[in-house]
Amino acid sequence: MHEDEQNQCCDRGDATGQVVSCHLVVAALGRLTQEHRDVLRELYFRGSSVAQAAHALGIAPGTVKSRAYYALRALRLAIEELGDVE
Amino acid sequence: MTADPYARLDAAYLLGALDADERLAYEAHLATCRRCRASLAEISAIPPLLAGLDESVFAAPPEADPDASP
Repeated sequence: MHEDEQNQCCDRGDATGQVVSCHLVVAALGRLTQEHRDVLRELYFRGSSVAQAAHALGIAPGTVKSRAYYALRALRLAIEELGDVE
Repeated sequence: MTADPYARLDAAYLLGALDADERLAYEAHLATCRRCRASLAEISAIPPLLAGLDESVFAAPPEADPDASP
C-alpha cells in the first residue's frame, strides 16, 4: 500500500462501462504528453476559457482546441488500455 | 479533407471552454451533424473522471504505474 500517490481515491463510472479508479486515471494522465496535460489542466482544473488557456500556454486559441481534442482522446485510450491490463 | 470547422471543438465544448457565441454555434451545428455528435459522444465520459484529482497530477508526470496490483 503506497501512501504517496492519491490520498483520496474513488471509483467512478467510465466510458467503457467499467469502474475506473482515480489511480488508473492518474496513471493514464502520466502517459499523455506534457502538452496534453497542460491543456487539460488549464481547461479542466483551472476552468480557463480557450482564450485564457491560449494566453497562459502561449499558443493560439485554435491550438488549444485541437490540443484538447487530442488530449481527451489520448486520455480515453490510455484509460482503456490500462483498464484492460488491470 | 475534412472541412468541418466544428470537428475539433468537442473537447473544448465539453470542458466548458468555448465562449458563448461559439458554444451556441457548436450546439446548433450538433443538431445537424451526426459526425460531430458521434465524436462528442466518444469522449463525453472522460472529463468527469478527472473530478477530484489534485492539480499536481497535471503538472508533473506521475509515475505511470504506481503499483502493478494483481
